[in-house]
Amino acid sequence: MTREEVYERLNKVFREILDDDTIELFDETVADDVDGWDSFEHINLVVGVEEEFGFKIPMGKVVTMKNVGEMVDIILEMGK
Amino acid sequence: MSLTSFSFFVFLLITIISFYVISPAQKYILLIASLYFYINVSPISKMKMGLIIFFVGMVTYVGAILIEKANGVWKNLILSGSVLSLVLVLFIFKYAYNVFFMFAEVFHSPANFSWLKFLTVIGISYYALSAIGYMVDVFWGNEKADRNIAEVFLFIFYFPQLISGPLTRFGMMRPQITERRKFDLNNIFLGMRRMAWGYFKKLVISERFAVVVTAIYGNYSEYSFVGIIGATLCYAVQLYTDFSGCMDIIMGASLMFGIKLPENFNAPFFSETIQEFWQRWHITLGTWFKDYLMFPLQKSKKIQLIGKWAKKKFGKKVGRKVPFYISMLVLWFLIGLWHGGTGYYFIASAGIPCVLLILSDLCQPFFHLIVSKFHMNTKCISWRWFRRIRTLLLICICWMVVCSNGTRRFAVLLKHAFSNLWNYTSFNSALGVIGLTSLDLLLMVIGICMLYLSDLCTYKGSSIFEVMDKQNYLFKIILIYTEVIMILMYGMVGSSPFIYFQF
Repeated sequence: MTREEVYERLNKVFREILDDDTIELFDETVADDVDGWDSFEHINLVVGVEEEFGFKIPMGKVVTMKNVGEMVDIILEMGK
Repeated sequence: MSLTSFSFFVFLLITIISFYVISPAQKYILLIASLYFYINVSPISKMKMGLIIFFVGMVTYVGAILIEKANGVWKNLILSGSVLSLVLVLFIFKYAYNVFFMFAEVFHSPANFSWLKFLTVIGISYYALSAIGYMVDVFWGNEKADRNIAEVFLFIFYFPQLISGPLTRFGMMRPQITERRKFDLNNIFLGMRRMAWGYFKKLVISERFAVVVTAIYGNYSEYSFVGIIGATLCYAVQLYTDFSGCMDIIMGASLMFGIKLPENFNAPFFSETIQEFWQRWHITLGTWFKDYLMFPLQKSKKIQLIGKWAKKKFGKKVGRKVPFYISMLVLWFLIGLWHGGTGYYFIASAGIPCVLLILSDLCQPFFHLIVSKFHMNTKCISWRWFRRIRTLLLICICWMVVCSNGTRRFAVLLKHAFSNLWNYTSFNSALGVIGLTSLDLLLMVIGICMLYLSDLCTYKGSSIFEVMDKQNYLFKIILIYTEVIMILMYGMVGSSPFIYFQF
């Protein structure tokens, strides 16, 4: 799985959960940059990502990832 | 030994000198100083304090090592056992009496729980959470268990943050407490400057607003709705300057040892929504509960199953909301308990905020509809200030309950306030009765202006200190001297303890 493929699927998950087709994620994107990505929706997004990629993201990583780039790194690492 | 006492300054001075003179033993000096400070601020016997310190410290130290070594079910069992031990100590020494008393009141039980009324163990609700956070971090693999017992004890009992927080994370503190610090005059200056700002907030601003709050809430039947709202807004300033002032003193003291503690406030009164307010107020407590409790609970299998059931039954949107609302209810219940577990604190610090948050989330589509229907401009400054004032007034509902000192009294106060809506004269004439001079009022206005400027800098991503650093040397010196002189001349020392010490 390439980084580009991860981003394509990640954009799809975010757009569907946050009901916003304009979302475009980048490595440096943080919660404040995306309308609706707050603590209300954070775990919904994580669960959506887990369902999309078919594995569980450990809780320790959920609370420490600082931006989308780190999320993509975790997905690539877990998907190996 | 309170933070505003002379003995605290002497203690701080001796600790700083020892810290930099005997530099190879810095962490041991800090540990000894912390234990001495803790035993001396606590009203209970040295023997009992020693036992509590030993128990909490050893459970955390041994627990973390065992969690790291164990695998599978054992890892979960050791974590649960260690966390439960600390929660039990916290519950017994802090909340048991209040909680049982509240249940006895609700169910009209004649049971007497006065045997549970221990003397206060100061700070336990802060450092117990930090200790639990460390063990969970080791469990998650985010931190390695520290084999050095002094470092673990110092992380838990580090004296500046011991009695009122901020809640710290092991990953942030360990590198700072293990690294040997060279004497840096700049750190001493920055620390003293931060402490001075804290003392100014507490002694010059907070204590004066406290006079208004005490006078009006102590005799509310003499005042109208406007007077009571005014007093509640004064309480907002009193509480904020009291708690954030305390944080400034703590952070400043810590900075003199070269140790930076996490910020607990980020211009809370600039918040445009209730949710934003809780992200800017008592930040370290909020993030602790979010990371170690709310997120794991929301992501847990059982809660997600309930969410899936709700999705099938009521649709996608409801299915997504249900896990969040369940974890929110648990989170706010525990935040209410953390604030002491008394009935009215449950309502003020948990019940009302939780209801407001859920309502604001549920009403979001309705608000969007109104905005689009009336073509409101949401980008202008007046709209932002409308939202800020609305948020502050909503938060004031919580503080009205706190100021009323009880749920029944709050109900009586509300009834009285709504039956005396517009009695302006009683408020104006009452100001003289409150006991404030025109100088006090002037100092309160100056205080509010300084607070506004300081928070505006913070809101814009800077700080009042960064802005000061860019000014001319002479201006900086004049400003600091004026601040210190104002504290010495107008500081109301010994009027009341810091509000958050009680938690």
